[in-house]
Amino acid sequence: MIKYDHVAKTYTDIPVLKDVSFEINRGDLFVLVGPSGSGKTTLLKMFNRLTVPTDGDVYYQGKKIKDYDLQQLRLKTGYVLQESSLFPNLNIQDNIAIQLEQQGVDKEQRHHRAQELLRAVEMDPQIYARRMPNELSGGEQQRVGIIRALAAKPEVILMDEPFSALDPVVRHQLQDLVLRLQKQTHTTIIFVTHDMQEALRLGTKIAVLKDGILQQVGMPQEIINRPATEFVKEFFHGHNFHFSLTDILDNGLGEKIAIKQTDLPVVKCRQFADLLSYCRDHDNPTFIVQTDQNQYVIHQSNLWNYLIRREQERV
Amino acid sequence: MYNSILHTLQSQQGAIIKATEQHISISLLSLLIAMLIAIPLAILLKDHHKIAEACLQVAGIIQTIPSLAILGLLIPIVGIGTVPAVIALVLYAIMPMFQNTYAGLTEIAPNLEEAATAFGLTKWKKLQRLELPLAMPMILSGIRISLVMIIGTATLAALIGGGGLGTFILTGIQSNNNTYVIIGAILSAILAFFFSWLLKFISTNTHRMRIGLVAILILICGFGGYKGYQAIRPAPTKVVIAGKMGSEPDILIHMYKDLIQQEDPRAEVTLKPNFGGTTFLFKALQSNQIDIYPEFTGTVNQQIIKTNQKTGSDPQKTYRLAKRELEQRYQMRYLKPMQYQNGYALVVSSQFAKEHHLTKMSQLASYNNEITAGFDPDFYQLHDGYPGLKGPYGYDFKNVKTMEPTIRYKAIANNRVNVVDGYTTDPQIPQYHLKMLKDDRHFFPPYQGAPLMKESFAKHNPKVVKALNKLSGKVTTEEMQQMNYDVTVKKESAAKVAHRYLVQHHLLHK
Repeated sequence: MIKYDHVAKTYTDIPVLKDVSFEINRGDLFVLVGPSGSGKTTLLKMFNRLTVPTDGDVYYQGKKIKDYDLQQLRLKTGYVLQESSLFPNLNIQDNIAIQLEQQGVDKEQRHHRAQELLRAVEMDPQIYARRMPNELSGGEQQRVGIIRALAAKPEVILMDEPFSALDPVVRHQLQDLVLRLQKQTHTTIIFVTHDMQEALRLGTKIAVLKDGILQQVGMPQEIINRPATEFVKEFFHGHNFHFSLTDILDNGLGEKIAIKQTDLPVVKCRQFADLLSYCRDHDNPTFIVQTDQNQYVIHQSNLWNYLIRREQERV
Repeated sequence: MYNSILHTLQSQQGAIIKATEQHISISLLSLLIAMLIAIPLAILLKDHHKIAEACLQVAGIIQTIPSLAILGLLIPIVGIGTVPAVIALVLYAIMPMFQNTYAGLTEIAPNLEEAATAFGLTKWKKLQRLELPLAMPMILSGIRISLVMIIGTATLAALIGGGGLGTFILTGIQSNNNTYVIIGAILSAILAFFFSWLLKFISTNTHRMRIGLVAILILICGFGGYKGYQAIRPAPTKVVIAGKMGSEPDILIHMYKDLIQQEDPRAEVTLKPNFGGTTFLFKALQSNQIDIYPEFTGTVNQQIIKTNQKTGSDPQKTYRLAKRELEQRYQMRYLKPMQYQNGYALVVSSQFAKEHHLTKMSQLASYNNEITAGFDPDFYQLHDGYPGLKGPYGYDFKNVKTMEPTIRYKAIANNRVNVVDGYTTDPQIPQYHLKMLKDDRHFFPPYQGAPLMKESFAKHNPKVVKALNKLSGKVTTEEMQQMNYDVTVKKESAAKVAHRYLVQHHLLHK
């Protein structure tokens, strides 16, 4: 559906993209990943013509992007920025419906759509619709940022490192949200990130970029199992076995509890390594892990079983 | 001081209200025009940084030109009155509003701009939903800065006949009347504070802002409608009468107004008291900015037609010379003068007069060595002044100082000097119990006041001429002195004093 054809870009004689070609199919969650300065955002912005390639062309449904009416193209493309970038002077529902407002949809319908979207992401419209952006937490703001991109029911949504400024827990929740929304709407999403974990978690297809050169395009397993270049291998090395503490705890290893049980020892953990080093030094069969957000009851035996199972899966 | 302020506020109520209204309308009109220029300009130039910077430079340079100089430069181009005042104020007010609007629009976070662009918002939508609302606090503060500045600077409008509260300040300075200065200054400060507060109040929430905008629109439409109505209404006779600085011209032009309106009740008479000096007024008359102003025969000969010799001492001859020259050289009609003579006089303190039994100027030469005189710089230099006196009276005073007209009376009242020059109708003479010496050798030229107007105006308005001629031969020196005293010292309004005189002398049937 979308085709980047020998695209190149130079800024004041410095090449930032060199001869990049790939295709994106309808319904893909296509992730552009690479270290900063690799040109991934530049590629993304070529779709809605925030940047223009110096060479090559981008095609959308067989037609060159540059031949589309610019405003129509942008009105029908969702866009999520790094910071939520909500208009600070508009309330949440007006923010969500800004593209609809430009399309001339009447106010009642706009607000109806905004509230429907708020409900879809578990934000009560009664509470949130009329709030101002600065009354929301960072995670809530970005949640609104995402549904704002969905408001006009676009066929393509561009996301430019939308979660890089959020803490891991919220990032995780929002990643789930994106996966869920994409499953429901079958919207094609181009997603830029520098975080390979995020790329692996979200991408149906991943393109790896470095210094403006496309290293590899493929499904997540392909990238991990058959890295095309030394860089890709390095980049993803070990990351498939990278444990996120909250990930593991939420996935059934721990049992979430609300009240502190005083008879069990309490361990404060920030990352998975903290948990492992505690187990190395202590023999308690059961203890409580306290993270920034929650407390979990952990049985040491479960932990070891879990690790063995994961290792077996990998091999 | 407090009492004299209260008294002036009471007696000058009408004039104060009018000046305040004028001040507000000049200020708000200037602000509105400047807003209509500065804000759209900043919006247009927000994406053209180089041009915007250039505009900022230009606006900054205009800002550094003293306002007085701008007013001066504008006179030959647009004349005098409200128009140049408004132009000057607009020029001043543009800079802060342009700068703030531009800064407000360009300092919007780039990610918000990018979001708006990426959503496909049109320029107008972007402006309406993002840029203007975010820049609004900056814009409003720019408007506030401009408004406060305009209200302050608008006091200078009085210098070129634009009216407003500056008239009071200027009159106060000219006539050494601090009460007027204080009233003018305080009122303009209050106006600045009030409007600054009002803007702040309106701008604190969007609801108030909307109400405020609607109110302003209604006001503008109302004002425009009123002006429009005035424009299409059959034009009544319009007469603009101006006067020089001081109480006496002020009283005279009020008399003119009363008399004209009695003769032609539909006439619209506009008074511009304290309008300026001789040359300024004469030019204003020539360029049709004003229609009539009272001028003195002696002044005509000395300063307008410039005979360059000592004026004769016969009042009739002096008037005829002035009338003839004005008619021939400038096509002006000089109506018949009033009786009183507002000429130079030598004035001594009552103590000094008593000591030496002084009544006549000829007696003064005997005391040359005891005299310290304080003279107006003009008097010190003119043929009609001190240099001319030396011959016929044999004066050679021990010590002669030149000082500003307003200061010399203070000086003699405090015994710093014992002889000063003055005008025969000066109210300070009775106020400080001074003794005016008789010009027994008829040296001083006769200065008689009479209305001066263009010949063409006189032809078109015979009723006005007829009305003003009623004053011919009226008003004695003592009566004028008394009226000046009533206005300057007793703080009665010139309108009231003039009216009272006319009624008492059966010139006005009211």
